[in-house]
Amino acid sequence: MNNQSVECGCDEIPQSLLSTDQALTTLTNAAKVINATEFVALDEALGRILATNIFLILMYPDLITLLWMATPFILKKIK
Amino acid sequence: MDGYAIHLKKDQINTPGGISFEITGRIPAGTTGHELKPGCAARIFTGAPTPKGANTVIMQEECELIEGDSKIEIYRPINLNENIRPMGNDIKIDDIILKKGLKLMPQAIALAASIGIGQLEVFKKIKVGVFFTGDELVKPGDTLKPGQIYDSNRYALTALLKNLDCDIINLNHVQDTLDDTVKALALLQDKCDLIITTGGVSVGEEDHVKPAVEQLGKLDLWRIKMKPGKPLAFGQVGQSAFIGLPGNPVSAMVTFLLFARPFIKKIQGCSHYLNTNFKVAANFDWHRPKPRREFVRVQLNQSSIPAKADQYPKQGSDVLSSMVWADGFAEIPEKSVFKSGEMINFYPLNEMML
Repeated sequence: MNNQSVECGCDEIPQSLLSTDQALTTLTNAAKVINATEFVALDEALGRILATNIFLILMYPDLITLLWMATPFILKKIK
Repeated sequence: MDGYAIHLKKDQINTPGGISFEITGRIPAGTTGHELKPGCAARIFTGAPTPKGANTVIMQEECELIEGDSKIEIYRPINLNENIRPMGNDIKIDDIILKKGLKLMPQAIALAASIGIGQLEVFKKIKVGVFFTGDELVKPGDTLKPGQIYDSNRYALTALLKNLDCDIINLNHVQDTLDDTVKALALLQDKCDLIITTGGVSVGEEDHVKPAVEQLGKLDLWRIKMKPGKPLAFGQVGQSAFIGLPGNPVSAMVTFLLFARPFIKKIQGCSHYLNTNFKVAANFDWHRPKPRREFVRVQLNQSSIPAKADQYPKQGSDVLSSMVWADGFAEIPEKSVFKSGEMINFYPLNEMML
């Protein structure tokens, strides 16, 4: 497992009938993101949840021309 | 596109027809070509970058080769920057192109690939433990004896979890005793992020899941004002969260989709973890106010605007065929009474099954 417990929030829940909205709110408030991450190849990435923002931060200067028809850059670094 | 990159001189811009250009280069995709001098052209192909000096591109169908294919002639006025996609047209430097928490679908993977990213940092798959109790349940393919039924929840639950890209630790069938249920939970509690069961969470003497969870952790049994699927258990066993779904097949699936799914998506790190819904028109009357919110299995007729929702004639929590027939759930608020045409919330199954 990913070594992070999920508090159930049982102590705060009324024992009587709950509305659907109350139940959903209580459940999702108790859900904590599992922070463990890994790198996967693009071929394995379908359906996975991205763990970091992907920026375009630098284009490869030698390839920059004034006007550029093709996909125009090579990424040097990913944040 | 396939055509000719041209260095158009000032006096050639937007000039009526019959302008010729000397061909001085050829630029297939994957090459960069040489600088074009004024009045010259280079053969260029889809995907190739425009060379230095080029200020417009004309498609090949509009160019006529002349003088032994050494020149082209174009018979219409030409403007600057035709058919050129400027750098940064799609994405600019410092743009966030993919946001944390996004579920990666084919278009996102394609965008990452298009900027040269070969791998992506993703959240690890969560581990979900499951086991199934109920001595009356028989594996499909085996012969039923009196008092037995086929186990559908096992297959529904594991399929729903696979759809959510979870790693499943499946203990399969566990004897319907308190001791065996405690052993199963103890085995899973430190290996899983979440344990899910179906059935056995009520307070009857044959319902062992509730006391077993309470032995190892804590549990709250909720009675939710909804139909189908009133009982739902939520708690913790060791390091693992615990969700106990109702035992009726439709109730189990509906409560999974409405409650367990958003919970799972949130712990997976998904930023959009709540189910989406939109408004449709009920194509049925709702005569009697009911104390519980109902999630009615409906099929959408999209030949009109707004789309109309028809309800399945049998809405019992045992009627699994209603889930196959339906496009989604119509949400009927508590104490509602309405006529056909009322706008109601619709939860599409095809989205919830992703």
